[in-house]
Amino acid sequence: MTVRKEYSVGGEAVRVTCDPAGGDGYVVRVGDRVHEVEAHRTPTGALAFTIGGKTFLAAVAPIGSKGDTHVRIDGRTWRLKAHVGRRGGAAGGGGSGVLEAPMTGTVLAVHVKAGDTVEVGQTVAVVTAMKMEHKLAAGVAGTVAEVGAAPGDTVEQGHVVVRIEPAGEVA
Amino acid sequence: MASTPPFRRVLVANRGEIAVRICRGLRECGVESVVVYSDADRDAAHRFAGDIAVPIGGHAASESYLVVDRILTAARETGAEAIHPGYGFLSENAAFARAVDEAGLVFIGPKAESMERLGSKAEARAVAVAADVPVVPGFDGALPDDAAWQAKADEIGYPLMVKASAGGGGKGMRMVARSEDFLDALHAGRREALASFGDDRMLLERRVHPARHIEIQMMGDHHGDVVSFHERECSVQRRHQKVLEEAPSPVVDAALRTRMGEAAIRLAKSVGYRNAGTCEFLVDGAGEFYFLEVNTRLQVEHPVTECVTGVDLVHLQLQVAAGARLADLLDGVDLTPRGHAIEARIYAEDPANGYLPAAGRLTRVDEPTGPGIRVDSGVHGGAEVPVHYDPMLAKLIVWGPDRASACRRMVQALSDSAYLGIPTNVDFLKRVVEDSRFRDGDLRTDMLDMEPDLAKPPDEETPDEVLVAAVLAQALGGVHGAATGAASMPTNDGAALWQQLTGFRLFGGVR
Repeated sequence: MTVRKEYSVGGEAVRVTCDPAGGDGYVVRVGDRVHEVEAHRTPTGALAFTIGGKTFLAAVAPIGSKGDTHVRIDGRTWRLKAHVGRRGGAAGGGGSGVLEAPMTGTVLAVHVKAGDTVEVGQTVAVVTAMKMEHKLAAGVAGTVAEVGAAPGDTVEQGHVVVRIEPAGEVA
Repeated sequence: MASTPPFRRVLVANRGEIAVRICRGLRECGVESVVVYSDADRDAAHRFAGDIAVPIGGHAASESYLVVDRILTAARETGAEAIHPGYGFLSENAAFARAVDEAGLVFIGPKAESMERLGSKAEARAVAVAADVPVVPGFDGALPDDAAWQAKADEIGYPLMVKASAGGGGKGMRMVARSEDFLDALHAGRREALASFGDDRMLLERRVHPARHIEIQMMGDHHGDVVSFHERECSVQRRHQKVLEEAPSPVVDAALRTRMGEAAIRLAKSVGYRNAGTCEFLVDGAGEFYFLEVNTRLQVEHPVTECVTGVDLVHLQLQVAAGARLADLLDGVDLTPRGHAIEARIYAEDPANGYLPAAGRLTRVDEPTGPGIRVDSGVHGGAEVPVHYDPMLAKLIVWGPDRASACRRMVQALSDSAYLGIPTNVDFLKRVVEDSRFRDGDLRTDMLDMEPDLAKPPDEETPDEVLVAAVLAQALGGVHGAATGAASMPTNDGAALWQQLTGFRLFGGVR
């Protein structure tokens, strides 16, 4: 039973695989590096493992529901982003046509409807949480393909508020 | 301390960690507790902390914890005799205190009149001046001409601040370093104030800079007595929001402690202050202190005072509200600070991203334990942090025999803390405590502005063990670490899953 994961680390996709090697043993490959690991779940649900004689205690827990993961190890929390295709970046914005709620909050305004033409940088929606307003600006020029929320809606972090079909898109 | 329960049943008009902490104090005093919770807090930790839980509906604070009628109805229907307001929400609302009183219940806090007088900045300043408590030198009034303003400014001394009387938000505010720059700043400030507020009245205030924020915890009983529980230092702030607090202050010696305590007591006695309150001061490099304001409630940072004095402030609040005398309650109690305590406020926020507040599901919570560690928490693993309220999750309080050991204990306790699933400031707090300026006790209110790099995690490559841990969590399964949602379920066929996920993203991201 091979477990395969792919994370986006420093902008690059890193493939991580884990194969059982009998008992508590596992062979974990990070890119092209191979680690022989012994691992246990502790009774409190933490993860204890040894690599090359060094013991680590880690807490691992999901962020949202899209495969992103928090790993707390050695007193520091790391956020691992699940690697996804080139379009629809998980953070929204950044040249993406997919505009997601940056935080769980309430949709204050949606300035576009499906079929509208938008320019780069145009504010298409506003999400508010804890008295802070966050504007969602189009990362690409194009046509609004979908509006996923209406003013007054409560949306989770990562919810797609507006999706823009980039102009002149090649499939 | 007295062992008779001060009340039979008390309603806690708050949520989160402070509601949990007050319920614990009530139980310790043999008092039954009533909690109230909004629709957004149906699964919140505080809902399950009391003996009776009353739903008050609503999501936003304005339709739940701030609705006086709902709180009073809950108290009436459950037969509560008193209401503890905690901090925030209705705790400093004089109209609420009065309504509680008129409903024949006991408000565990000061009288409404004291709250009103101390709640207004101008009035509080006047009260302080009358009680011979030092205030920041300044002037707020009318003068006939520029020459009179110049003379007044020279009398106050430089550097000074010119501020709009109607003000706020920094509009019309000017810092003046030299006498010859004063009139230009005054005129520019007036123009800006007129444009912003339609009111060009200005006030002058000496600039206390660099400053430390040091406050005195006090408590008054219903018989005219007021006791000081000494100082806390809360200089580590961000936009007037405290980040780390400690007791005692590294710069307050016994003589200054006595002078500040006496000043706070004079002020409190002059308004007949009852119950817990905090007198806040700015302290300059020369050890001169200036009155800032009075917080007429239990403070977020009260645990550090409890750690070094050994008293339980919530117990005292209950006893005092029931009419007990502080002299009896504290008979034989030595309040001299012992050792050193530090509190870190754990927030759901992202320091690296402009401290953007966060909400969402806490998928895993590990809170530290050990000698000298106290966690006042309002969350648990699996809890949903609602978007509607202050995003403070918990407070981590450590005690050590001296400041250096308390700092080391805080670093270790923060390392042992995990609040995963949403961004938090835990690693930021650790960086601040490890910073040499904090470690040396060289604190000032603008220290975080001076070191903006602390907000960002050090730029390090992700070590392999992080990725190893992530994939092992999948391989080993298990309740706590198991991810939710199809995208991260362990699977026999990872490749197919990734195709599925990619397609899912490409065609609209509908969930």
